[in-house]
Amino acid sequence: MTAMKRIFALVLTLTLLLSLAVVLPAAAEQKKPVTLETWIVQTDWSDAWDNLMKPRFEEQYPWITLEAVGLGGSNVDYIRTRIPSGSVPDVWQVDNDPTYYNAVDEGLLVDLNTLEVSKAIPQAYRDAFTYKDKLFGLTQGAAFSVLYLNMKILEDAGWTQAPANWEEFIRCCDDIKTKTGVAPLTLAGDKTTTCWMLFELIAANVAGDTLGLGVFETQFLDGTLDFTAYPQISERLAQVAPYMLTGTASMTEDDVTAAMTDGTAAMAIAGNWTANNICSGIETASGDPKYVKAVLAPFNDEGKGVWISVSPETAFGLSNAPADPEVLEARELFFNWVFQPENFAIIQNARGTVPVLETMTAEQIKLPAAISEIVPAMNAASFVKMGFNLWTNEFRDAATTALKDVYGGNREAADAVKGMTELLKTSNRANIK
Amino acid sequence: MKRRLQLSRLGGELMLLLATLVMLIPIYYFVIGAFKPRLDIVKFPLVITPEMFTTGNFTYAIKKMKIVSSLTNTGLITLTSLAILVVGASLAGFAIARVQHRFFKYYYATVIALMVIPFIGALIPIVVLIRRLNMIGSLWACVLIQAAWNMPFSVFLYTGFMRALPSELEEAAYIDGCSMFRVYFNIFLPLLTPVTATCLIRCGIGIWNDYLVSASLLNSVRQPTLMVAVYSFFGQYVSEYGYAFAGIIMASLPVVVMFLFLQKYFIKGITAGAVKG
Amino acid sequence: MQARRHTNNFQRARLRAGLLFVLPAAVLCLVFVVVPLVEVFVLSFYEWNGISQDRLFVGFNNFAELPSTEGFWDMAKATLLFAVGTTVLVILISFVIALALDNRGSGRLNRGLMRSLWFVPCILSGSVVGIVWRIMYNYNNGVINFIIRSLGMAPVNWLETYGLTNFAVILAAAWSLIGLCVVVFLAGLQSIPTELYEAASIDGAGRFNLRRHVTLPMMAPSITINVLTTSIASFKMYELPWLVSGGLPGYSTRLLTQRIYFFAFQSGRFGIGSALSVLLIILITLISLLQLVVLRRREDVY
Repeated sequence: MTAMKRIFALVLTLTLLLSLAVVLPAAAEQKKPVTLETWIVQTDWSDAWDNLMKPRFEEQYPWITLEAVGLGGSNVDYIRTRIPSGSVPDVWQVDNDPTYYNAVDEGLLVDLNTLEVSKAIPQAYRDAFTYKDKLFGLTQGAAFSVLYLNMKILEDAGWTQAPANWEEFIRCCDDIKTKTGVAPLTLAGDKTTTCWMLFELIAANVAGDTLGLGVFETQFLDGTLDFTAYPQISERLAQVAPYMLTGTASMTEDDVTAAMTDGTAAMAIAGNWTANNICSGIETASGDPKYVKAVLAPFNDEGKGVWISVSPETAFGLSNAPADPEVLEARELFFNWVFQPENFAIIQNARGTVPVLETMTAEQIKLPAAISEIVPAMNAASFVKMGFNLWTNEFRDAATTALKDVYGGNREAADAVKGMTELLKTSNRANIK
Repeated sequence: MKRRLQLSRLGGELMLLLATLVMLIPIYYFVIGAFKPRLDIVKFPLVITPEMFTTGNFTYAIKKMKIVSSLTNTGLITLTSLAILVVGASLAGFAIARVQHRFFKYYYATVIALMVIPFIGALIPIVVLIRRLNMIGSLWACVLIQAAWNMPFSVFLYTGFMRALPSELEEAAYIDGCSMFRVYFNIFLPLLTPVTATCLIRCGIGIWNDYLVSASLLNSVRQPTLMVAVYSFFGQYVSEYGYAFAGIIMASLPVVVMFLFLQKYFIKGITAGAVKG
Repeated sequence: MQARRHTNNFQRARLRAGLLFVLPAAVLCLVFVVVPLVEVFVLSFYEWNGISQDRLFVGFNNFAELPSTEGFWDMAKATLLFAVGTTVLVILISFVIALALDNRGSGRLNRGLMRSLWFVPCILSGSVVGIVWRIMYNYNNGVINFIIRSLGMAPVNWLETYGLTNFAVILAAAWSLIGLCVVVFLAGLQSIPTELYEAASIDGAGRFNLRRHVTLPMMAPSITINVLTTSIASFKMYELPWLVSGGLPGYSTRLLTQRIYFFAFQSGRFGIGSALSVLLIILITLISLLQLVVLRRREDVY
């Protein structure tokens, strides 16, 4: 009896406390001028946000408080529950994903063409985020695929130079495997972008010259791209699969950093956005910065130009949700502020990505040495767009599942490539409204 | 004979100890991991030496998780929804168990059917509903959703428990002209401690550990809950195991304490209730 | 006559009071469980991207399309295998552990402590359990392969081997569910009157026969409740197994609940996601009913 009564009393008291707690913040909030929900921060630069960016902005505009929301987890999942709840963030992170096209259709995002700062983004990158004549995002920079190498391990295998074409690359993999016992290659199979990256690099280098610039993308979008028409694609996929670190298919980008840091893999295919982490990992593993090397993945035939995959990085968009005039003003203020070169440098320096802001000066951009070496080559190379700009979510899911099975030795490359071609015929962006 | 018995007892205890140790490996692994830097977690998963020892993960996690406000929010949501659950389910269970009528049979069958529904499929309609009720961003939204979705199981527990109680219990009281509420309040309520403990533990753990409901209905910064805060350590690019482990430990400690506090009733509640349900 | 009217009045009063008693729970469930559920049923006949204001009525198209969606049958198989495997493993392990913990007396480990220890995994959230096991299963630096290597054996690719990965996922899920079942079994064991054992021992029954003919029949109700709750829990589970294996290899460990999540939150096909929810609800209800009937009948046999 007494125990029961005690539980009841406790529970009643706490209920009262809760009602108080609900009332109190509401009363306190009236004093606060404006709070902006910024959904732009990712875990790789959240410390830079907390320590540098947020304080600097709030010092400049004391009446605006910034709140970083939606940290962790997947972007699309987050916004998909926020939209039906009617409480969307003030600043968004957007990609070329149908979800954001729907959001534009619903009038949830501002057309950024009216903002002064959008003029500092090159036209090509503005086109990339233009949907039905509305500019819905300003990109953080240019993303491209990179092959990172631990030259210490390559030297142990007898390679003082990075391989320069596909044939050398495979020979190098073989030497690493047989002479050092280290796994030659890894990538973040768990992340769809990097899982697909290896395949798109192979496909682009095999078929790119025949197709010509931009055709890969148009055929991909309308579902007519036939990977099986180029037998070399599945041949090369089958060639490289055995050289991959066991467990690659289920590795996150963080696991790749760990593998490079522990020296369990010699090379990694990854985006330039993880350059800071991977390069310092290789430095730890090899013990000397001179062994850190990055190249455009040499998947070209000997004597031919190299094809890479590129994409605008996740962009920032502005909410169009109705709000008080002060909030609307604060949104624009913040947005313009972020893309000022000295402020954008905070994001850039924390992540080590390649910004496209034309107002940024060379001194403001801090790139890992290995990456800055290859930026000119990147700008000159032929390219295809990364998968997430082109595919439907069904295709993405099925194709990466097939590729992971190839990487893990559970499926024949030819079979997987055939399956992907079949799937693309029905699941492509031309088919969805 | 006696010696053999003791030997087999020793063998049995050894086996049990071994099984328990194996079962505890994951816990041991992440508890010591919480006190080590990331590289040591990976390189030496099972040992911790004084050189590795650091409390840095905890200080970082405390700061990032806004531990005070996330603890308060999670606590308020959990306790309030448990209060609603205990009152609502014990009343309903009493009626179902003690009033003979077809209606309550159907009602009970409905309750059982609602127990099997996977929450995930209904999430977006729930978000839309809460928005129509204009309760987005209110802790009450979480409280009501948690109370409602845990209600079927709680009603099931209370009904089972009260069905098992002897029917002589209240007959005399009814003959004396007591109202049903008096019978519930004076005779049944005092007996409900064990099943209440069971309900508090089983539903409490689920509500305390909730991510999905609070992530979809609350503002993750203004009203952080523990699991939403822990989740922010698992980003797309960086997964800091050490921070996350420290966060998990801090988030789980209150539940461990609650379990230790309630466990002697917990077993009784199951004995009398669910087993005979 | 008089007396009968009296009882009728009494019954009616009780019925009225009873209705009042179930009202709070009923209203709460109606508003926050049944209403969204009806919405799910309605949505299963529409095509809706989850964002737009418009939805398009498509009749049974969503249901018709489901079986031909990528990997559907693999996932259905995986769901069944996962639920059955988890339930069997959990019931077996927790029964044995409960038997061991039920033995009391001097010279044994502290029972309260042991019981609490076995319950600890249940306290952790499913996603935490999933993440921790995934880290432990990691081929290169996971703790499980670390142990295997230090025993001088070859490491195992836990997350990318057909069959083995199913086991890995089931093991992680079982780990998080065993504690609850142990508690229920312990409660059941402790409610068996000791006289029953004594009587059987006098009749000369051996240890095995005691278990077979006394313990097992007496435990039938606890087995029913454990099988039922564990199988429902494993049918509903989605984040724990997803975080462990990501559905790999192929679709062999991907569950239908995860597919609902994919349709609703990633591919923006809310209609077909709702149709899958409806199917799954029907499936779980049927299986639970079936279990209830079969297990209850077994209870009667004993």
